[in-house]
Amino acid sequence: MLKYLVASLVLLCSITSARAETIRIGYIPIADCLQLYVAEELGYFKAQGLVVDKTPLNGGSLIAMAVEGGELDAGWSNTASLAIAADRGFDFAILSPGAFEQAPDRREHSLLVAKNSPIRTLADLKGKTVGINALGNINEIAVAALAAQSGLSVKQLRLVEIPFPQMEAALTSGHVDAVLTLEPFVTIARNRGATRVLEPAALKPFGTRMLIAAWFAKRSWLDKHKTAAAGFALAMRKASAYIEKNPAQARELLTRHTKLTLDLAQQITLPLFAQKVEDSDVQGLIDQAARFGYIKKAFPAQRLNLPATQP
Amino acid sequence: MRRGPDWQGLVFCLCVALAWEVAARQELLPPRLFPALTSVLAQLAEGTASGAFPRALAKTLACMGAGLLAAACMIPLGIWAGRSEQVWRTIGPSVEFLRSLPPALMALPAMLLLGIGDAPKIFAVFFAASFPILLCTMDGVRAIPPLFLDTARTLQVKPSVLLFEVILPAAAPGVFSGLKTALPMAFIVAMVSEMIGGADGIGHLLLRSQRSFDIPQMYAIILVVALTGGGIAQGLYLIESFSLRWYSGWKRVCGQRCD
Repeated sequence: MLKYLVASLVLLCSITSARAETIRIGYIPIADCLQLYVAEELGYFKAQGLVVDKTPLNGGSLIAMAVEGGELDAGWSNTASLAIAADRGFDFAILSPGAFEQAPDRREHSLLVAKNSPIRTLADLKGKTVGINALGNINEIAVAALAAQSGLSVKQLRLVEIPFPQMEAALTSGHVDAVLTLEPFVTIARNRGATRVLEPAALKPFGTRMLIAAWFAKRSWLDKHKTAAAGFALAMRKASAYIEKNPAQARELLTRHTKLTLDLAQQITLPLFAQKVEDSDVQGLIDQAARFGYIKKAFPAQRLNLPATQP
Repeated sequence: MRRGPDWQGLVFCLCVALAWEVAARQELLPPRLFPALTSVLAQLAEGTASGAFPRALAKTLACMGAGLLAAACMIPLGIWAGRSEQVWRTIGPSVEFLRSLPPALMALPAMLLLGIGDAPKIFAVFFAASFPILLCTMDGVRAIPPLFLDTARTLQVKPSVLLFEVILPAAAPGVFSGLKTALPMAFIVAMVSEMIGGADGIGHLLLRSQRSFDIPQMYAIILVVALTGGGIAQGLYLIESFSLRWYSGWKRVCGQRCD
């Protein structure tokens, strides 16, 4: 009896897995990847006949290398790294929009200093050490653009890599003079009160609405897996709509997939989850990346965008 | 003692380079993650000519200088510990415990305690270089043939003569084997600490090129590091064979090993 049950279960599993296509996804277990948690828990992937095999990784460049090497099908990356990769000849395209920032109340990146710091303006950062989570990514270009607004070159600053969770400690112990951090660390730091916000909208040089990060894949993979790609993009769009309509429930979901407490999850500023990427959401970043030499030459945002997966 | 150029080694090296080039050109591995050797060499030439690699390397080598500081402290301590059983019994257990820590590991606590400037790097390099120098010097002192010390005692030489003309030269083979372990290690640790919370140096540049998808530059920097490491080892070998000329002669005469 048991044997038959097991056999029929195995058969059932093999039938379902034959129909469902598996996508291997690399992500960072942070609040910005909220769409992924929502789509998974609410069964949006299953509805598209997809099985998503998700691997938490520590940083965007690790994910990009794994996607390029073929160990992952798609992954999460900040938009600046996608632009830099495109400039270096990598053939990544946006599979689905991820998190956006929008002025004035959906800003989640801030530049912090210690509460008793003598730094009052961006110009005071000259010669100082600034902590960012990864070199050469969206946050470094933001620091370069903010510094330029005060007539400073990024070369006049010392940029060091510090993981987001350690930034506040590095700041209060005086090891660094400023950090560019994001939610939930902005809220955590504000609640603790040992820091001061030097620039509340650190990504404002890129525009009033901009794409922080997106789900991307290699174009060669996208061409071969058109149905799966479209299904994934649709599931993510549904997740975005759900988050925008049910923020309280979405925040509760966060506590199951990140280390956030419910209290904190209710307090933080969430990024915007929009249905569609406009060229203007990406172009500002590409232009600034070119202006400060992170890419050789600006290119049209369309080159990263994949219209096929847009509504 | 010296032989002609090592043809076998050179041919093997060229074969490896050729295999790299062919494997990359045939795209056996993802081509953007595994560029051809020729494009890496072009990057190497470009980075060297623009001064970016030499500047970063100079920074790293300066940080590695903390290894020499370790030598200045640990050679005297090693001689003392090698001569006096009492001293070794005092510091021995702590040294044995601490030296089992992988030196690159120290970069992390050093950063917590000393921050993000040069201090944690210097500390980590000093820490890494200290133990090989201390232990090898001590062993070198203990391995001094009794004949040397007995002769010195019979001649009733002054303590300073005993130290500088008998013990130090006789322990030099041990000191050098310590330096040959310690200085390449110091170079490695200097780079690792530049990768963790560093703002300059060759380790920082390596991390930056990986982060910004500049893969040929990443490999070019790895070549720079390999060449520099080889240069350090070769330099030490030359200094050693120059200062230990007496030693190989002595070994031939006595027909015995003394290290």
